[in-house]
Amino acid sequence: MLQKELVAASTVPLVLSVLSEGENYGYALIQRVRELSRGRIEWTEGMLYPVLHWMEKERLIESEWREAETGRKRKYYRLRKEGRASLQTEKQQWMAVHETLTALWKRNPRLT
Amino acid sequence: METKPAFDLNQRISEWREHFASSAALRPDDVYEIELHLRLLTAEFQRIGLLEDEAFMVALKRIGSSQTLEREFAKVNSSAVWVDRFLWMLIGIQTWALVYGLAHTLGRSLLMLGFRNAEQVNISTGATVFVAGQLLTFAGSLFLVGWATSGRGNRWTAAISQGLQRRGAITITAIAGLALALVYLLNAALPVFIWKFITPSGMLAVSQSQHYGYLISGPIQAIAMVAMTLMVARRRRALNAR
Repeated sequence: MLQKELVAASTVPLVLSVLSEGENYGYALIQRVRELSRGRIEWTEGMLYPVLHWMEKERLIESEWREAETGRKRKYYRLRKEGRASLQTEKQQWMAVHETLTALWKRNPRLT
Repeated sequence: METKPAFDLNQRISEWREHFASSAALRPDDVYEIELHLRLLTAEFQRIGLLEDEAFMVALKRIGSSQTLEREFAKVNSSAVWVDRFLWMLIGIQTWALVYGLAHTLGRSLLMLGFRNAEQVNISTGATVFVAGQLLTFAGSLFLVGWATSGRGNRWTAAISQGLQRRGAITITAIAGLALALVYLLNAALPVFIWKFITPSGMLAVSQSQHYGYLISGPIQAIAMVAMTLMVARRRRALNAR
């Protein structure tokens, strides 16, 4: 299980990354993160929605209500150009952290 | 074996929705979006073998508390929240002006009628009548604030804020404005009308008892205002602590 602060910090890059695979709706987005993290990333699921709204306000993503196969309406979210650019920046930053930590742990195998 | 009352998912979901009915932070669309999520989660837990009521409980836990949700949404929609606050401030000011104006006019008219012959009524009686009217107004306001913040007023506040979002809002505000104008007019016109029947010494007695009355009702008004503020602040703390 991830620490609360780390969950909060990684929400936006995770959402951006899942949406870069194609448009999606909130419930499925969470399923995807749970599946890929093998259950290690657990969100308080309702809290995803204020984040999605904030991202929409920042024009990183856009949304649209559409009817799903089930007949119920669903709100689909999709990346905007700005979101794609923001994902690139996020990726560089997370990779920088990741690479630094891996390099350090490689030198000092007792840590891994 | 004990039989449990039948579980009604739609009923429980509409109860859950009630939490957000008067919230400016979440629009109806936002609540609906989370409601769909809640329904999908409930269905998922039922599929893996939970009973419907158990599934709903776990789904609710997964979604998170309505207080936290509202707080997080309020951060995103802060402008909507502030517009809503200003709206309620204005409603409060107008309601206060209306009620206070009405009580004031009534009290003064009563005094004038009572002092037609100033010799018969002494000033302390006049002042008592005037103060009693004002006290009633303060007590009424305190009661209203207590009622509105206890949660029992939720349905009304939701109805008012929904009503103001519709097209008919102009009519509602126009009626409120008209009522306010009427009270102000009454305040000015009634004494002019009663003036004819009152002697100069009676008029002096009205003025005196009114001003003696203010000596008592003024501090009480201040206390009532402080009490209202404390009441609301306490209620707010209790809600945040939950």
